[in-house]
Amino acid sequence: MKELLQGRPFGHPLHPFLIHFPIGLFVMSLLLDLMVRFGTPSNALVQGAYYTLLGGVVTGIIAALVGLADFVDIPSGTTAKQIATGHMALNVLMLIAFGASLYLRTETLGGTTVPNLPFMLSLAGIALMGISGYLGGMLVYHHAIGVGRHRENEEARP
Amino acid sequence: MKAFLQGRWFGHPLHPMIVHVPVALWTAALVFDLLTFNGIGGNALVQTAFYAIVIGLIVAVLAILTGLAEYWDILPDQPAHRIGAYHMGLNVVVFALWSVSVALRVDTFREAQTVGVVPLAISILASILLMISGYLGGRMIFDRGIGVQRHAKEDGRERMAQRGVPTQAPEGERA
Repeated sequence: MKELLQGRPFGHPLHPFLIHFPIGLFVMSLLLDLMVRFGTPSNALVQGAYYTLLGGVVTGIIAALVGLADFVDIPSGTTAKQIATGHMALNVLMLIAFGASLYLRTETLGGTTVPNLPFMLSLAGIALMGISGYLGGMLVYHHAIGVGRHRENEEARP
Repeated sequence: MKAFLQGRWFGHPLHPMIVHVPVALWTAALVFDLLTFNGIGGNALVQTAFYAIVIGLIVAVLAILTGLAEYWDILPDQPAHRIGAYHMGLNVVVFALWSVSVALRVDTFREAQTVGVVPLAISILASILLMISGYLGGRMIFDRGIGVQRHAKEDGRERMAQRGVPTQAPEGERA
């Protein structure tokens, strides 16, 4: 099960693939928020921001669960483990921020703009995502987590 | 310029970070298309799909520029070179398909309640090609080590090589 969640059969970790969806959708949701708040008020875009946010939260939860399978295999006491712990904590906060933003939008879904509080929460979520994504990139590009892993046998795993 | 586009100043390759946006938005556009085609969501999702494609295209321009800078440093005799060439070729087709899709939607998206058959077909085809191309991109990182350790503060390439972990040489080793 862990092997599958780590993407070994595909020769490619699953977590870095799955996170495309929450990242892109959260970014788009914020762009749509900006369009209705600073451009033209529009119910279509308010709904668009809501549904992209919903898609981001759902795919984000899936990505988080898959990420745990990668996390447990990083040896304790390493820099990579510290970074991964920070990455995980920030992502939990981020999902809470976006989840709260989503919840607060349900009542105004019929309106033509996004209220301040959910908008601020989305901004906070994007900021957290930026830092967390950078840490995730460090894990891959500096610490080579997941790189060449599908070729390792059980004994040689670090 | 090449070093800038590769993300040296950032300490992290830029291309894999930027591609999150078009990959997700174009896939989301397909989902919105499938919903409106089946009568769900109406004009709100028709508009959302349109903006998703447009934002995806804008960000994809940045992805192309940074991707070319990455491709430049993969030597022709490396296995990743051929993967990179296919990745690039597919992405050119994907970019062209979404551009055509936008052209087909631009006159009707403000009013339409559903997506047309042709744009929907383009969304499906482009998304399939994008997944193949994305897989090739991921293989370049996770199987071939492109971008791995290239900008790292601590040089761990030798240690990683002993574990069979592929890495990419820092800039300058190409010549």
